[in-house]
Amino acid sequence: MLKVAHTICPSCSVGCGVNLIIKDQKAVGTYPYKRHPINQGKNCKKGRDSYQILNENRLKDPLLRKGGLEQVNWEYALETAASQLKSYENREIGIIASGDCTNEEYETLKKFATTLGVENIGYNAKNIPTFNFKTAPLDDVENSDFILIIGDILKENPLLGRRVILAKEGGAEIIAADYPEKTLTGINSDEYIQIESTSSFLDNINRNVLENPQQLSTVIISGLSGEEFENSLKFFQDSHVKLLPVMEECNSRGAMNLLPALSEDELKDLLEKVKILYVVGDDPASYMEESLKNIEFLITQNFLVNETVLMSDVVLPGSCWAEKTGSFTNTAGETQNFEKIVEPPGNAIDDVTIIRELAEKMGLEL
Amino acid sequence: MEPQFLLAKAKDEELAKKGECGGAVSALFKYLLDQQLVDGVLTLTRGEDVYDGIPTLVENSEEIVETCGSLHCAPTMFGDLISKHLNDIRLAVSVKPCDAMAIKELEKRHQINPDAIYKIGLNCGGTVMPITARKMIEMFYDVDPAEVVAEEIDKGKFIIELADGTHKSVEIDELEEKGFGRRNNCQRCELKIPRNADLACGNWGAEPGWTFIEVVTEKGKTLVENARKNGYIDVKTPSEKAIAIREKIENVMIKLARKFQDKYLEEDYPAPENWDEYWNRCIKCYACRDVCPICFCKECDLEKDFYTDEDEIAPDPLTFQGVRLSHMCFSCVNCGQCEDVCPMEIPLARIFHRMQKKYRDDTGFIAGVSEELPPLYSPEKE
Amino acid sequence: MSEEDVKIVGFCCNWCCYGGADTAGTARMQYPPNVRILRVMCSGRINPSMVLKAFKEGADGVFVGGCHMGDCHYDAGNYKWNRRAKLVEELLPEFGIERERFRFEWISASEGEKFQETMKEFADTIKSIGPLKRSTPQISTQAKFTAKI
Ligand SMILES: Cc1cc2nc3c(=O)[nH]c(=O)nc-3n(C[C@H](O)[C@H](O)[C@H](O)COP(=O)(O)OP(=O)(O)OC[C@H]3O[C@@H](n4cnc5c(N)ncnc54)[C@H](O)[C@@H]3O)c2cc1C
Ligand code: SF4
Ligand code: SF4
Ligand code: SF4
Ligand code: SF4
Ligand code: FES
Repeated sequence: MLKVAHTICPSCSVGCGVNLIIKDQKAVGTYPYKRHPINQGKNCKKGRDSYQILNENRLKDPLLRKGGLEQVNWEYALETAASQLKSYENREIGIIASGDCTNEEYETLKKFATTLGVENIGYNAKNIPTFNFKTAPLDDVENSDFILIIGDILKENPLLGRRVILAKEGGAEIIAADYPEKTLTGINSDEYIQIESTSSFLDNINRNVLENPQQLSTVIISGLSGEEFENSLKFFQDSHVKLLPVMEECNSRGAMNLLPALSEDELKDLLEKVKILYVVGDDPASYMEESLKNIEFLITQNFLVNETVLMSDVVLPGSCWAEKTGSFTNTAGETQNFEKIVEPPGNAIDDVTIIRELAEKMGLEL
Repeated sequence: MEPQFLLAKAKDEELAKKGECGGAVSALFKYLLDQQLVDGVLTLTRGEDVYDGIPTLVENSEEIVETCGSLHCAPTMFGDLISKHLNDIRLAVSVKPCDAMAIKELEKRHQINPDAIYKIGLNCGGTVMPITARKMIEMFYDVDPAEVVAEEIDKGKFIIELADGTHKSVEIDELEEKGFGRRNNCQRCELKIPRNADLACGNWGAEPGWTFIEVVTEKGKTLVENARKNGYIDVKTPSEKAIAIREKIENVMIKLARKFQDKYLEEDYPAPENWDEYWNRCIKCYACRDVCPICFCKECDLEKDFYTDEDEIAPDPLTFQGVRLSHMCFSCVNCGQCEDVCPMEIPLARIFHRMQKKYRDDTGFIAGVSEELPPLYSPEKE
Repeated sequence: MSEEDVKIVGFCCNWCCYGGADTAGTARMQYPPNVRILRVMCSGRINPSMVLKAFKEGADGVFVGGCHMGDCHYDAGNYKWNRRAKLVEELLPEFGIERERFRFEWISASEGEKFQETMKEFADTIKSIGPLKRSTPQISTQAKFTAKI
């Protein structure tokens, strides 16, 4: 009747542990998960409210457009999606995912695309390009002697902010830089630098501070994207510091390891190139409705009703994180497994299963 | 009623073996479930390791055996779990003194029905945060924390047991001097024997293989008697000497707690400037309020626009924690949960506990222990 | 701000203390202009949050006046307030606000003089401690601020 169970917070990329309180098969709250090494039972509001995601705007049945969207059975929905996909050339097929699917879903999706010979695949990277170097572990942040922060970590990613606070209590020097006149991170740093552009900021940095081999220095970059992000990475990468870029979604880092990162421009290009689109998790209609209009057939797999779902031709109801077993890779590159805690509502099923069944219907072997 | 002392032991061999002391607590739970005197038992089970205590509702008495034993690295709180999610069933629950204090305050506020709950108290010398425990085991015991199969607190030592049966121990004093050991609020906690529960069970004064029970209420007395009559526990009388020893340890612990109160709430208490530094970090996440068993309001003043500035970066402490303090500090049971969950490491329990102590000195009201509501709620002309 | 300009908020109950203020006014008994009076129906209407909010909004001193014990028009309002007032006294120093900045008193409608005296005394006290300086994040930041780059 009542159950308290461990899971990983799906609300940002820090990867905190959180306990869900389940009463009569329904998530009714969260409970501190003090054993979890990342957050020791502490969660921000987003994290503590994460259970609500399981209860809001859920898709419960496969839907098919027949004029309006109508409930159909799985067989019919998958059959339709499969036959449509088969009727297009590979280069006319596009697949996009979001940054909050599980690693297992990315893997399956990747296999699906490879087997099918689809190259137009990637995830919505929120303009954070792929990088490939060893990022600073969270414990290093806490043990740093010097931390430079771009962005408002305390406010946006509180449980990473906590590591900064702990470092400060341990005597570290903290410098923060950001655009607004004041930020929470700023007022809690030794120095706050209001910047007008990252390039002028980088130009003015005294590199000596970063090159001190006696001290453990960490640079945390958050809230930057695109070129700004890349320039900052380049700037710090060849210095002595440890770098920690903060990703947008709970598994953006995992997605980056498995799928091509698509910037907004790239997403747009992709949408303009393809005729049939298979969306897993993402909501392109919310940021690129125009480009979606070129799509002849839209297949959407998601656990909730969003704008893209409403535009779709076939809707495949997937599961919310706590309804499946899988893993997320946090912003520091740590992969954490979590278990299924509750059943998905109605006829919704596990996402990996959906992709597999779709493949099977198409006669593909994953 | 006159307190009554006895030693008890589970008749069920497995419970007796797996129980922390005599398995009496587990046997009482089993009795209550078997006789359908309760619908469920709320206890802790061990999760991935000894540092992971997960609140568990047991409805089938066969499963009680899986909840046996004490977890000292699991600073949980049952009070609001019950008032928010379990107040529709008849319940038995294992409670540390702070759980019992929270439940008591919630009962007075009609958030928990006292007639529908059996409170089986556990004496408590304190709990350790899991991550702190792991760190200190690595540093002071030179042991991989994953290799610890059991831990206990005895005679002022934190003792760990490894898979091969070896024990290692370090003085708690030493650990705490270096900033490890029990949570700060536990160091200050002076309710070591939960006389605000129906029974207070512990190892102090007990013989090996037995649980020492102080029977506090009539309800507790009936429970023990019937469990014995129905063959769930064996009961015998402890020696005068055992009772005296127990009392002596309790007094030593209380003295120690008062020493820590002086240290944390007076001598080393942060100055207002330091508090301002702490308050500057607040992200207004409400975790402290949400976890606090005393803060149970459905509609909270802290969320009113009235107290919020549009351009605030951190909330003004006067109208944030100040207002919360003014609403309930006098009822703070020093359970430490607010401090445990604060993402910004603000030592909240210190200010709340300090205020309750002042209130207690002024009015005699002891949160979680006094029978009546805080005098502040009184409508009387007095 | 000079010491003369300190701001004092006075919560006065309608039936007694406010009457006292009125009596003082009619009798042309001067009391310091620093005091801004807020009329409430009963001192039992005041809760500690209102005092806290007054300080947050910039008051340098807060006064609460009610009827004498036994005279409350709502029977026990001033008894209730009295218990809360004790808590306020303990709470303010925790936020770096001196206890002297908060005062409460029982004043009847006929005690114009007592009202005047109390206000004078209280204003003098507040002037001597000076304006309240609080270091909330809104007012100052502890971080060194570097020019824009
Ligand atoms: C943190 C802690 C500190 C303690 N310190 C002392 C002490 O200093 N002196 C003393 O005399 N006794 C202490 N005890 C009590 C003692 O360890 C035994 O729990 C008690 O004697 C009952 O023994 P038993 O064999 O009958 O219990 P068991 O039959 O083993 O049953 C114990 C019950 O307690 C529950 N439990 C375990 N850990 C917790 C927890 N953290 N919070 C709530 N419930 C829990 C279990 O789920 C189980 O239901 C402490 C217990 C705990 C949990
Ligand atoms: S910091 Fe991020 S991961 Fe942690 S609780 Fe908040 S939203 Fe969840
Ligand atoms: S606050 Fe007291 S009762 Fe609660 S865990 Fe700590 S020592 Fe035990
Ligand atoms: S204020 Fe903190 S320590 Fe006090 S009862 Fe609430 S959560 Fe526990
Ligand atoms: S838990 Fe900490 S950060 Fe969150 S509202 Fe409370 S004091 Fe502020
Ligand atoms: S009416 Fe004056 S105090 Fe109540």
